[in-house]
Amino acid sequence: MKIQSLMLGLLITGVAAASTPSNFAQQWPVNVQGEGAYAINLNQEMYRIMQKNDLSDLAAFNAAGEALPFGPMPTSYGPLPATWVQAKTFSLPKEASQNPELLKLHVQRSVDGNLSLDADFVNQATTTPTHDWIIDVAAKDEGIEALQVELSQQAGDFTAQLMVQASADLQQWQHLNTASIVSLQQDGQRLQRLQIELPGSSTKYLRVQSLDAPAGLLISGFKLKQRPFGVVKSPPLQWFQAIFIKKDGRGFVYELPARVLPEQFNIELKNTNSIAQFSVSARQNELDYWQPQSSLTVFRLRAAGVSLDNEANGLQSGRMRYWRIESNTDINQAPVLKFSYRPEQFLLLTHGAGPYVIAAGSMKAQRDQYPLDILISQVKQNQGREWKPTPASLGKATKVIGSMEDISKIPTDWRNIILWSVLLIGAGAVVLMVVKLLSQSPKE
Amino acid sequence: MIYGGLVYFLHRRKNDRLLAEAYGALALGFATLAVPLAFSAATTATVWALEGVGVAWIGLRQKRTLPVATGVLLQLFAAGSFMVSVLNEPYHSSDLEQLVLNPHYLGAFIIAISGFMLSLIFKRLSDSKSMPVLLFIWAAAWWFGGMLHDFDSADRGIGIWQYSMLYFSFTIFIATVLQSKLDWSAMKKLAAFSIFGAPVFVLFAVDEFSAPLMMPSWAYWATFLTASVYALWREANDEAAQSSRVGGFMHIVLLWSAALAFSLQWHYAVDTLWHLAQGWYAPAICMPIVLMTVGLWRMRSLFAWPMQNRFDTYDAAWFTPAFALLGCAWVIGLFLEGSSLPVMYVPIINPLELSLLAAAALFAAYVKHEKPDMQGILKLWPYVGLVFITMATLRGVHHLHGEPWNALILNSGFTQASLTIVWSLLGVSGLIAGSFRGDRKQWMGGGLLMLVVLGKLILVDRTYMANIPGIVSCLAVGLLLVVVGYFAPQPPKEKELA
Repeated sequence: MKIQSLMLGLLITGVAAASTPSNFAQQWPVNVQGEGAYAINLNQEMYRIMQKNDLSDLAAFNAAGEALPFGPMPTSYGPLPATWVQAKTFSLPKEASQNPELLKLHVQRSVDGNLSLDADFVNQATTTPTHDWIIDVAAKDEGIEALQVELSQQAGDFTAQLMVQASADLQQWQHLNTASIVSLQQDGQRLQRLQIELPGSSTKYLRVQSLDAPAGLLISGFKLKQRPFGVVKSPPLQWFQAIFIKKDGRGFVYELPARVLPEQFNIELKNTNSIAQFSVSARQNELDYWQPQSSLTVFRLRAAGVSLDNEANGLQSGRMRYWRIESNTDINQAPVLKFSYRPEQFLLLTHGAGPYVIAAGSMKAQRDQYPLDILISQVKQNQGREWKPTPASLGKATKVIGSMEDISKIPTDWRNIILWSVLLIGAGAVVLMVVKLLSQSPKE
Repeated sequence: MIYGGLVYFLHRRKNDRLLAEAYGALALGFATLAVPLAFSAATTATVWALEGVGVAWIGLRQKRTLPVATGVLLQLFAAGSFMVSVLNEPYHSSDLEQLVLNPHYLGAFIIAISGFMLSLIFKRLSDSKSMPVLLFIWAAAWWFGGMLHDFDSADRGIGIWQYSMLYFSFTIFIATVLQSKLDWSAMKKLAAFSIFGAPVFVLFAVDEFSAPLMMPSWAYWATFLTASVYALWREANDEAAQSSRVGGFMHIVLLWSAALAFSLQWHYAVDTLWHLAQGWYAPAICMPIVLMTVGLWRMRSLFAWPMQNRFDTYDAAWFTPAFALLGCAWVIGLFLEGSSLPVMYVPIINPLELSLLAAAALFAAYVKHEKPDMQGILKLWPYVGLVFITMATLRGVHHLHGEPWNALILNSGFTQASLTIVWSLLGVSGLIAGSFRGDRKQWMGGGLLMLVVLGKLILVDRTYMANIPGIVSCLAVGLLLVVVGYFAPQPPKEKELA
């Protein structure tokens, strides 16, 4: 009853705001039936068409054109942050790595749950440098997103191919990824790429093998990037390329044509076998100053059948439209600037008759603010703590407003006009006061 | 009863005063003792309190100490009995739900009323100076104590803030009426005490409604204001009270409470509702004080109504703190970042700097008109102006060129070049104006500033000479010196002392 009256109240405010689906540039049908709570991943088309940086020109409606409660997924349901965890690692001797059956025999799990190796196995492992490792994954309900190789002090220069496999029983191994890692000292610059991206699934054991086993590859351990699954599984990272606009001195300026929230960035050089140090800055509007964001050593090495590239760097810029990268060396061709982002999740609460639509893209119309946290906690009280929104997919987009000019028309900003008049009247009053003061001679 | 009858008989028939009084005392004593036997502790309290008033009144009229002392003691006993009844809770909690109309409150109310009556009786009939005051404080304590007791039930119903507002309004009103009808000066102090609650109510309203003057509070503020203005109006029209300071005190408290309420309300509106940046909301906080100062100064009959005729005698209680506060705010304002978002930042024509200028002009005008003996303070204006222009330059550099708003701003070549140019422009205008007006001091001031600029060029700007800002500042100073050399190469002669 309470939630219904709350919904009714929201409905009234929704109608009062008078934005309708036709105010927005595009709309997408939501593939659900009936009333409920749904988790919706924003797609790249939405990010491209939205005009406002706070994503307020993204709204949901039912068949009657009434606004539906819709907004960013409350934090209690959103994806949880990832952490880097030191992994428990065992080096495997050659004998075991060549014969997987032996592996099962010599690796035991003790009473307190820790893995241990046979004594002779361990001795063999320490005498010869090994290129095969087993990782005991501590948290079973967390997705593993990346693996970071930690080199020991004695490690030399190397390039190596690493294969990562996962297993639940140490017998059946599933291939996850094969990637190159590198650590080279060159002209005083250290080129390193020691991270391997993983698909983000959970597993009990990981096995890391170096296929080519170079001499310099001496590993002290591994770190895992683990992310708790949370209530609603977060969508995987997607890469997105910025559009090159112009060369600006030594720098290159790019535009990000979608209002995504970048997590990482990477720069790809056009020339092979080149290295460059880039500083990255960004700004929201063309008139703003460039704000420094990050820096990155970029390399692209192709030799003797090995291809080596630098890895992407993390970013906490917020939604920025314009990007500028500047190199310490002269580069003629504009490099490729790429961003990775995780599509944000929105929560939709439906009521009334379907089909329901998501509409996006407007300078004027905007979504009302809904207390989704409160609504969700009300639903949880009725449905139990375990309740969670159902993931929903979107249908094909339809264009409502054709020309971008119509969307980006900015309504008259009365607030600015009023503030400017206040300022000018204030300035006039101050001038008047000063003139009056000065006209009265102090000797009077 | 028997002794009561005897008193009546003897008084009427025999006119035997001594015997009648003796029997009277006996009747009273027995009746007093009978009350706790017959009634509950709470009823006893009320009966004793009222009885005490009667006994003391008789005693005072007869100029006899014993009944007076008995009457006062009965008040204490009544209070004790009342406390016993409250602690024993002989009532159902449902009886106590009702706001004000519950046995606990009414008990305290009767003790308070008795105390007030006794205080008035003492004031009229005895020579004692301290007794009326002590009794009045006693009664007032019970009056407000009763109010505090009902906070619990108010919290469940109308709300503590609302209840207290009504209670204080009623107190002010009734105290004013009693004061004028009974010529009871202590009541005026009670009204003044209640008005002193105004600033507290303002602050608690922020807690309750997030700003002091939100719509749900309007009815209560109107009630409080009506009662307070009525008290002030009575005071203003009271010929006998012309020399009293209580009226002025009430007025000043109300004025400052209004300033506080408007300041907090403005801050809420500008910051929370309209999301304007610091440059807007910082001046908005001071705006009510500025406007009220102008109003109380230039339009006294309107702003100081109904006390406009007596405001002169205590206007320092407004103007001194107002200018002191504005002075502090001014100094703080100098160092604020002062963003004018959502409007573009324009040096000088931005809310913060315009407000600083307006406040300074107001102060200068006030000193000029009202405090001619303090004119000397205005001689400081070139220094204050220099500081203001320096800070305005830095703020402009921060907003328009992106330098950070902290001490690091001084590490930028652009900042240093801007300061050099602004200071040398000031110095040159000082030199030229001093020369034209024949003002040697002004010429010297301008010259000194130019020297500082030259020193800065050598010591500081030199570091940035490789950059464009450094070169520009150097060129600008050179050019300006050429201009000075043309217009005002030497100081005007010192004026002869006439």
